[in-house]
Amino acid sequence: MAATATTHTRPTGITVGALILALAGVLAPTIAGRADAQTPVRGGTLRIGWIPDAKTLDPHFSVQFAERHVLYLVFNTLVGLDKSFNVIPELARSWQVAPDGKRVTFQLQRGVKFHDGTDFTAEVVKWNIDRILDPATKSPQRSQLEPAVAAVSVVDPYTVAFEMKKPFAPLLAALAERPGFIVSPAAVKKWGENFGQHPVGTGPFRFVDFVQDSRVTLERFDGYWEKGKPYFDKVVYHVVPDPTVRSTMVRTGEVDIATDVEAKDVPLLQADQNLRVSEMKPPARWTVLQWQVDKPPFNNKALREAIALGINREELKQVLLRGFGEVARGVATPGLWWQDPNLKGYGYNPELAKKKLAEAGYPNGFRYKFAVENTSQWIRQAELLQGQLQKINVTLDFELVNTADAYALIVQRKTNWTHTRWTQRADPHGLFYILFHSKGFANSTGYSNPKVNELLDRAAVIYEPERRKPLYHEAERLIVEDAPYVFLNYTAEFAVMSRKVQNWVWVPDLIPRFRDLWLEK
Amino acid sequence: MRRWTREFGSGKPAVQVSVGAAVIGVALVLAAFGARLGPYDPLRYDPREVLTRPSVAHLLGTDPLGRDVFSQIIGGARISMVVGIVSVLGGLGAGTAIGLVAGTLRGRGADVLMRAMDALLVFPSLVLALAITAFLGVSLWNVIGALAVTFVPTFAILVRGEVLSLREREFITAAGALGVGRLRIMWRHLLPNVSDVLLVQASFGVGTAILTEASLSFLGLGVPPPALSWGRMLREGYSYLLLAPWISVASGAAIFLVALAFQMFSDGLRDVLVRRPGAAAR
Amino acid sequence: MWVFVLRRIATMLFAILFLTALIFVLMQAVLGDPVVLMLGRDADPATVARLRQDLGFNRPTHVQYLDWLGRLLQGDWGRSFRTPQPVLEAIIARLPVTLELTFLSLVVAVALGVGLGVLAAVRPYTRLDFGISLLTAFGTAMPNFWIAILLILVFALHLRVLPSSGSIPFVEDPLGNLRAMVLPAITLSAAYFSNVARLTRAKILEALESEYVRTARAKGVREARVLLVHALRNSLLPVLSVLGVSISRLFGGAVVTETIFALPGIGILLVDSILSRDFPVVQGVIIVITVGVFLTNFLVELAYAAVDPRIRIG
Repeated sequence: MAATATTHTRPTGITVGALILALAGVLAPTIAGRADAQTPVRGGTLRIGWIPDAKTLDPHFSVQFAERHVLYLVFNTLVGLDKSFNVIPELARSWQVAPDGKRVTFQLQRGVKFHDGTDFTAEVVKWNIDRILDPATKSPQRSQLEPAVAAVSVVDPYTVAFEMKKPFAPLLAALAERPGFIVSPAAVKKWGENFGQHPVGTGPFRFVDFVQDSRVTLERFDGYWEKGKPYFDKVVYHVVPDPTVRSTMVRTGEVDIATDVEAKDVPLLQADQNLRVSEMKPPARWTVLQWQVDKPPFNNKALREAIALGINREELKQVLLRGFGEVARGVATPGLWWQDPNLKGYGYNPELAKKKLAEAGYPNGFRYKFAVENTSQWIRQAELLQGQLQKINVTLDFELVNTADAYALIVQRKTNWTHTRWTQRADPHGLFYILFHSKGFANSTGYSNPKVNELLDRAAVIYEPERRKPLYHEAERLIVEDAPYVFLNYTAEFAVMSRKVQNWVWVPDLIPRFRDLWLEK
Repeated sequence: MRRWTREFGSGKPAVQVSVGAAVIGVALVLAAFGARLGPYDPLRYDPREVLTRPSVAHLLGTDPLGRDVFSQIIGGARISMVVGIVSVLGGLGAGTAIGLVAGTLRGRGADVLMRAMDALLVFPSLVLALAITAFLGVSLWNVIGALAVTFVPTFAILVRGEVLSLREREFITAAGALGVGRLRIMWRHLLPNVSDVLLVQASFGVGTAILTEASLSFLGLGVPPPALSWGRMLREGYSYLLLAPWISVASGAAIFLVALAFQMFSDGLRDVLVRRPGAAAR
Repeated sequence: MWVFVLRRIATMLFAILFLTALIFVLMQAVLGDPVVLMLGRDADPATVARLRQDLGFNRPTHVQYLDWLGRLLQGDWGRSFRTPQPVLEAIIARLPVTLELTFLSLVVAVALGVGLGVLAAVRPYTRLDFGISLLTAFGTAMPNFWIAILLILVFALHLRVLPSSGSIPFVEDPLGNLRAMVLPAITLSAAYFSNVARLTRAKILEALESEYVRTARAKGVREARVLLVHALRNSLLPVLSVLGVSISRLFGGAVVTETIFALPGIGILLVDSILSRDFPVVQGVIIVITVGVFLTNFLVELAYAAVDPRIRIG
């Protein structure tokens, strides 16, 4: 437990924005195919083709992805993330971890104001964290803090300390996500339950209106604390549920940028001279098969191996993703600091698969119910899997479930065999623990390996990435070997935008950071 | 051509019935023999033949998994016809039973029953079907059941109305006087009298059911795979409209032709059997 | 008159009770409560349990239903489980879009339907008549969303003269609002203008054969006048009653239309709430739709009585 004190201090005179800009400048050639090292232009309106389902703009209750597309513009997080998931300063200028790892102290930015004119102080941070931790709030974000944070104390108006129950490395990454968004206490008191429709934060853009299922309008917050930002006068999100229509609207000029574009439409979009298609590289989201390994029939390891070996991932990639993305090997996607480059994963080997199936006690084939999420993309994947597995004499009987209900059915263990996907969290603990630790709340497979538990517990209390890395590598190997999940693909993600849109950068959590963009005149 | 146009355009009942019946007949043959009539196994995927244009090898092109669209259209006839016909028969059975009971017995219970039917009729049938499949889960039988429920009130109200008007007529009163049991009266006398109206309404309903299944499919709550349904193909074709228009054109045309055939058949039949042009109100 | 109104209201209340109870039971039958759905993938079991407790999902289904009904009678429509907007507020925010859409579709349906119907009846058994009957066949036998897709393809993507989806509030930009409504209104009206056209044609042909038209012609009344005043007026009554009956189907069609064109109306709200089992919203929308349909039918009946002196209400 010998955690040494780590300190992150912002170099004076360089803003986060400048850092990101610098990074973007370096990355621009690989991302966009050409460098745009120009100075940002101020003004204009950004029109976004927005994914559906946003319900609330209160970050502490946010569940849907679409909501986060807006949250990063209206609010700031305590700390930020860069494109490789390194934690960088945001509302906190710097922080120190005590030698025993049980106290993390943050120095805050001064002169930060909320859109309602109130000040951002240490009291505000404490109020926000207390709000999430209070069981009566019923915040879904509580799970990310509650296991480790005992209390938050105000040291002085611009210094705040997190008192920990135990050393907890994932704290910082959590504070860069939804639990770290700082809302205005005055506004929450004013709006009560309706705060989600009237969000007030410290972010670069002020909330104007939110018409459910239609649009969100934001405008520049002149009192924003990062000098020179933001660039746009106005940002409008138009809900466009269908991915094809969404990307087509960029072509017709109805919007400037659209995210969550389907791989199948990409070649067509790439052919358009006025557009730029940005692919998330390396990919940061995976699709898997999962089952309940603690009861029949999938408590049979040979059966699990047989199915894992019977899947032709390359073919899935070629047909479903039109060749984009990568074949999945394990829990960590490429490019993350905790990814193990030597991990092999399961290959495609139908002969061995058949042998394993016989070994598992199914020489004449295996047939079982398979829950399919009811969207075109999932159904297409399921149909292809069905065709592939048929070749090793494994039959999938489809049982369609509503997309909205799919996860509830998984986590309440009402489906045994299904597919799902997860997006990377900013800390390895995020997915490893909740999915594969026997106490993880999203462990829906019944997977329990004492060795994995021990490795994950150990890794969580170490703050230095370099020392955590080998532990996660070992855990990942065991997990892939035990096959509670069968990893299929690291799926490609795309954004398409008008050539005028500048400064687009992907973060592996796949949440677009529209706040840093600007429009060429 | 001109003569045919005149006859067809004039909506001559016999022409309508025979054209409708011919198309329905073809669809029924396809439904009966299903995929065996197509050139390929409609579920056979081929990663090298993804989204190929219509050609000699694939008359209507291939889909995103490289399956032959022509074979899928032929294979899909079965599900579409089964969904249409079985759901109408279900609604017809339940609706007729309710209508007969409510019409014959009358009284408070019958009244509540008919009010419930009114309520179901008021509620948009698509939304009702959607709610049922959403809550009970999508499966072929749930889709059929949901569509059947939407037909119940129409048939119940229709049958009850006919029953009420018929029971005043002489032969029914006479049968009652002779001491024939109530149930037998219903069965022997009333049903044959309403069967013409029911046939017209039912054949119209099959077309409606096929269209509603397509709408349900669009909302993701139609007949689930691996069963082939035109509605789901059309939904699938929608996402591939720019890349592979042949998928949606083929499935859309199939639905259109069959739905139209049932409408024409029903229209013609009504003129032939019922001879009440005023009943066109739908 | 008052007896008639009261009877209508009673029927409507019964319909509301029946439908809300039916949907409520269905909603909880298989999957149970939506708490996990509401909290998403990050919530821990303690929070899930607490929310379930607070929302009263531990109680038997009928108790939950009666509780909701009790609150409703006190004027409390509840809050959406997801947003958590007050239900009434959420519905009122979306009602204008749906009303505008259904109203415009009705206008299109009647204008186009009567127009085409008259045209077909004036030149019966010609190519024009045939063409019109083909067009109406498309309207009734094409899946409604397929029509929408074609319209989007042609007018939004190829010609780029109309927006492909979304809506603009009328107060902000009346012209933009109407432009955005053109394709949805045509889509939604397709099935209805066809019905109206077929009915108008049949009724006018019938009327032209009738005694009083022959009399009018014999008296030397001009043909146009015969058509417009005598035949058309008498044909419009059944058209009116069809509109009354089809209003609920129009609402059903609005669900699909709003989904395709991303119009924030109550159709989308209803589908969305059904899929996420947002019970208070679903119930609220059911009430609004039921009241709407009854109200329309009631107005149609009044209009009917006003036009046709033979019908008296009461």
